[in-house]
Amino acid sequence: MKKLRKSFLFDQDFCIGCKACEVACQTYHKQEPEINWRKVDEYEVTENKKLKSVFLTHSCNHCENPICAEVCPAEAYTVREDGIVELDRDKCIGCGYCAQNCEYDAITIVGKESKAQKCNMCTERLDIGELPACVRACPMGVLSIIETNLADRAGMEKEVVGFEANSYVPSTRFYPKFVTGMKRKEFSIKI
Amino acid sequence: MGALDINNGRRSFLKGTTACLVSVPLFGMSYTSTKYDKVDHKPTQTNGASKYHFVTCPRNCRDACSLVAEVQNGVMIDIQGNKSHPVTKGHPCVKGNTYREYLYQPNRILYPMKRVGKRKEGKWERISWDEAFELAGKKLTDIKNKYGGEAIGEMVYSGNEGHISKTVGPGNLLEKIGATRLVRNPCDWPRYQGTPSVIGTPYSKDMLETVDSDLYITWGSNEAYTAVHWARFGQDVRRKNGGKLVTINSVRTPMANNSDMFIQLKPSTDPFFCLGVCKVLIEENLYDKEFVSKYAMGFEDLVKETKEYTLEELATACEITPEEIVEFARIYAAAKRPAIAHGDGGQRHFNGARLVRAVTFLPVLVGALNKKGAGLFWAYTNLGPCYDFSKVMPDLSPKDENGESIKRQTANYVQFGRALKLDNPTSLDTESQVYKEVTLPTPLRAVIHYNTSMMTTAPNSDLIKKRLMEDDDFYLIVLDPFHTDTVDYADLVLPAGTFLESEDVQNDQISGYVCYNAAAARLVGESKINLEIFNGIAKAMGYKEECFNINDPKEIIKNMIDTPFSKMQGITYERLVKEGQVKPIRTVDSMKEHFPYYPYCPETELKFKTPSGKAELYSQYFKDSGFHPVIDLDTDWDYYKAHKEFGKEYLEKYPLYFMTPGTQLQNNSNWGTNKYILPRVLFDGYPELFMHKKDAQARGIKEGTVVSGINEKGKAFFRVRIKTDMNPGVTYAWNNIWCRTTKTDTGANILCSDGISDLGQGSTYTATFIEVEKV
Repeated sequence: MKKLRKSFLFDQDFCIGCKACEVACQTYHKQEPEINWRKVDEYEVTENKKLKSVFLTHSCNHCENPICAEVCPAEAYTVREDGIVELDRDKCIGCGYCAQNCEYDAITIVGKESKAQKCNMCTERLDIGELPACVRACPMGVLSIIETNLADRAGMEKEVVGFEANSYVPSTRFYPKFVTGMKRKEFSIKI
Repeated sequence: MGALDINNGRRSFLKGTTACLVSVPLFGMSYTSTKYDKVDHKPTQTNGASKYHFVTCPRNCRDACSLVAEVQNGVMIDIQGNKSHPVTKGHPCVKGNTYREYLYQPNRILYPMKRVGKRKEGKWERISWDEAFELAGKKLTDIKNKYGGEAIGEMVYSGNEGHISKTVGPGNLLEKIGATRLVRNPCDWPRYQGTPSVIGTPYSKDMLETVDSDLYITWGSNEAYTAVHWARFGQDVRRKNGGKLVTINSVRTPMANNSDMFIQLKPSTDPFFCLGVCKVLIEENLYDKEFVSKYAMGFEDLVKETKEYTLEELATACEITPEEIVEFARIYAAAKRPAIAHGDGGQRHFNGARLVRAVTFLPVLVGALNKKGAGLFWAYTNLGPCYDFSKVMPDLSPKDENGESIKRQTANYVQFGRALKLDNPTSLDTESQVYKEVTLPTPLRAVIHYNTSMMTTAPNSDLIKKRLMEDDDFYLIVLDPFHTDTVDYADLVLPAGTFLESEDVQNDQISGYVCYNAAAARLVGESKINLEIFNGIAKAMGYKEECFNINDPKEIIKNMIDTPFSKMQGITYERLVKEGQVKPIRTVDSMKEHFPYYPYCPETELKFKTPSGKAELYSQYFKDSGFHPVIDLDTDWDYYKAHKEFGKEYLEKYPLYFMTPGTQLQNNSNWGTNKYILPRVLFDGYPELFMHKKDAQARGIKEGTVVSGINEKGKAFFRVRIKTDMNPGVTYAWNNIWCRTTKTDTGANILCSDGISDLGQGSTYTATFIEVEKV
């Protein structure tokens, strides 16, 4: 059976910016403290003439046309059938072109080995039917995994405050703006 | 041992973690990282050899998360949330994710040590446990013989809420000594004056009821940072129930951003707001007349009080608009099941009890108290009948010739520096709910310090430091897993196990579970659990009572939960081990022997444990205590102006209100040096000070400027972050960032008020004023 494309799905209206996703990614990978594959940013917006903060959690967006793969001279990047952009660090030569070109700041080449590193949507977990470390850790349930096609059919957005979709066609999807009285639809995913 | 497998797939942390254990440097080394061999880019499955244990995070957070520790060969390789626990729902908070790194942090204290240099010099000598116990026993015995038992004190708070770690082990020793016990008053003591003065109960309803609410009001609380699961319950009222969310806070909290309405009150002006809401409810006929006539007393007095002020006057005092009061009152009255989740933030003021009393009026007026999912909720549920502490804590206190316990002096947490003064040491008069300072007849000569780090978390910490630095004979025994700020001042350092290494039970504050905590991991280094350490000191002091022979927490747990109520509820040791947390079912019937009043009385026949049996909107007790019997409108500013040691000039000299709320990255001082936490709480070597642009500009301060915060208590250094989430005139810094991690070895608590609240003898951390200057 063909594996369906997967996306991160984020509900900005209910994120509290606690950084559990950031930290859970680090502890799961025993990461160096200064390296974050997933980051939480805060944005100030004016709504009904009042200032408020909104948060964005972001990592690799597993783009449909990943620029990292395109510019990599070592052919270290591959795109899986389910859309996940994977990096083979044995092939990586640490040139940094991928990191320079990724407009989403999803790749880092600092760290002990001076090779590129980034989110792989925890493929090793997805492949055994488990959710990525960040999704599992989110205490607010605002970060999930969804089939990209289903997200699009269900009217999920491609952009949100702090995030613009560029020509690489990022796969990350966002819940539409919440209005009181609405009830948030939850999606279950068969991994 | 609670073996279970909540997740099928597991990954191998074993190799790296074992290596990390071996490579833990000895005490005193840098606390910057737990070294892993390498980053695990694709963690693989474990080999199935893991054991799983239920533990309960014991940080005095209202969530009391049920967690599952994964252990191999005594080493904890992973920790996850318990999926079957209705509060935790499988997710720890942000910092809970780092418990492995916490447990094996490089600044764990690995063996007992005694001070050989001057305080703060960091010169230690490793000693054996036998020597440590002998030393402690001899010192304490000498002091007791020379000055009496009360010359020995304790310092403790909520670093570990386990009953055995916090209450049983230390309690038996300190009672036997006849020591100066500590009044543990930082948190929510005004609550137990304010709320019962209206509705008679110190106990909240089970807050899990709020899953049925259609309006969740978070008030004086930042659940997103201090009780994250309740942020989800609150937001789910809006997200899933189609209901509304309202935030009332002086700071725009994360939940405020996601609320239908955010009301930003000037700190400590909540009673003005409440009176305004009452005014609208009454004048617009929105209150529940049937409920009020049946159950409330003093309604006419309240009506009279609402007529004394215009809505404009009340709104102006709160720095909001009258329209906001009206809108809130209408939303509140329209809701079928409105829940107020009231935090501790509103209590740490000079008007804490009066503020809580005023908030308690609202659910009375709209008749919300007896509706499921509605009313007022706070972090204290009734678990008393589940335990019988007397079974494990015999009365060992010194007696007079008639066999009566001799009344002893107490010190209190908030004013510990005052209690430590050699010249006129003071504390509060525990006979009085109103603050009365009393002189301690016996100055303290030694203190046993456990489950806290006073140099980081006590207010006015420079005053504590003064005694420690000036009196080399003062003897400080510190039990701690880590090299904290306080360890720097200790004479004897005893490595204490963390909750992950100690079996215990504790309470879940807001939903009311009895929570079990397994000794999941093997003790690091030579650490011992608190119980064994206190028993060891007792034996070294020559005490022979049987309780000092019991070093197995299992025996104590079995004994203390052996009560008729627990039996009826089926709460047993075995069940706790198997299920992790067990909630007694509190019904009118099951609680009738223990608290036959609201919230445990028939919904149609409410009986309040107040003098009149009704909800008292007029309180003779508040009047007798010198406050307004209905709603009292004094604020922190009024307190400072009225008191001669401060006065109007003080507020001119220190004009900025300074709050110290908690960050989501620490809980009190816990996690303060964790490798994944520390870089997130420091701003280039300094703790952050959050300032409004207007206040910053007036002082020539920009984002990132290094500043000093100053008041009469001392000086602390920060790096400024310009924020818009509070009003001008209000500043804040995260509480309890470790001083020794900062460039200047100072922290916010140096500045914090060590005053005492109006009633209930609570703290006033929040009611602090400072001036900020560029360095």
